[in-house]
Amino acid sequence: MKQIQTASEILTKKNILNRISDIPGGVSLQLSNLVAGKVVEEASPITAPDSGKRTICKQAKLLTGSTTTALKVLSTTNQFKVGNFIGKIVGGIAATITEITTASGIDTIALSTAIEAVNVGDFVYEMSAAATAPADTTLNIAYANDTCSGLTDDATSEAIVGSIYPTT
Amino acid sequence: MLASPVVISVAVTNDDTASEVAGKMRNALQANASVSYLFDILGDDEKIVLKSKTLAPGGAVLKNVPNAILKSPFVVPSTTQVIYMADAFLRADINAGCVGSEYMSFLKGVIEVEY
Repeated sequence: MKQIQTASEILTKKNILNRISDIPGGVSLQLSNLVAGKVVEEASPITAPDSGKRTICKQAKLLTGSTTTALKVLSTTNQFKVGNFIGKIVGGIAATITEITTASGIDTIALSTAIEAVNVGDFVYEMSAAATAPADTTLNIAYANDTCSGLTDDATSEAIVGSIYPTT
Repeated sequence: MLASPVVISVAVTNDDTASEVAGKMRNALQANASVSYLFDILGDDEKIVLKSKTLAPGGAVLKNVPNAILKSPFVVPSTTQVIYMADAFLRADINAGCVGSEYMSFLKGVIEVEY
């Protein structure tokens, strides 16, 4: 087995304060979804292995000036790419990254649609594609011609059949 | 999530007034998760009004679910290298605020410490 060299290549914030249990033999990380030249920080979350390979779970902390459609994050440590889906809350909105522009060490991530309200220090995460809208539903309102004393026949009160869609 | 079509039965009695029947129908519609998910059930007296809710295109799920954390930082190589070997921890104390809460909920062996 190849010995793993674990010397740190770059000076970043110390995130791990106390180690309790490591993974014997280390892990194999796939690089294809990362951005060459950028830094993966200490204590970055990684997935369980899939075919022996683990994946970095992308996240970023929002900086001042972020909006729901334009997120500002540190350029050196975020691994987001154009085309990734990004969101703030599980169960919330997942938007597509349409453009990433860099200025003064800060990436501005443009989104295809607005996500939930953002605050400085909030985390955003890589999401799967947003769930599709709820299926078309037929709503039938119908009633039998019963004999309730309080009801009268009304020719216009026929069964209503229609399709309803959520407003997005 | 939604049944299609949505069929709801409401029991009424012979001496129910129109308002009472409408009230029972409103209650039945409100109690149906498929209907109340999409509509606010409104109306007075003998009226039943279904007002469409504005729904966010939600349902986002994490693309990757974590179960460990990386021991050391590294620079993503710009070569054709496809695999990077690294050390990782299943359990550790970490600086609070360096991993987002959505990921922390899956990292049962990782504890945040205010430092």
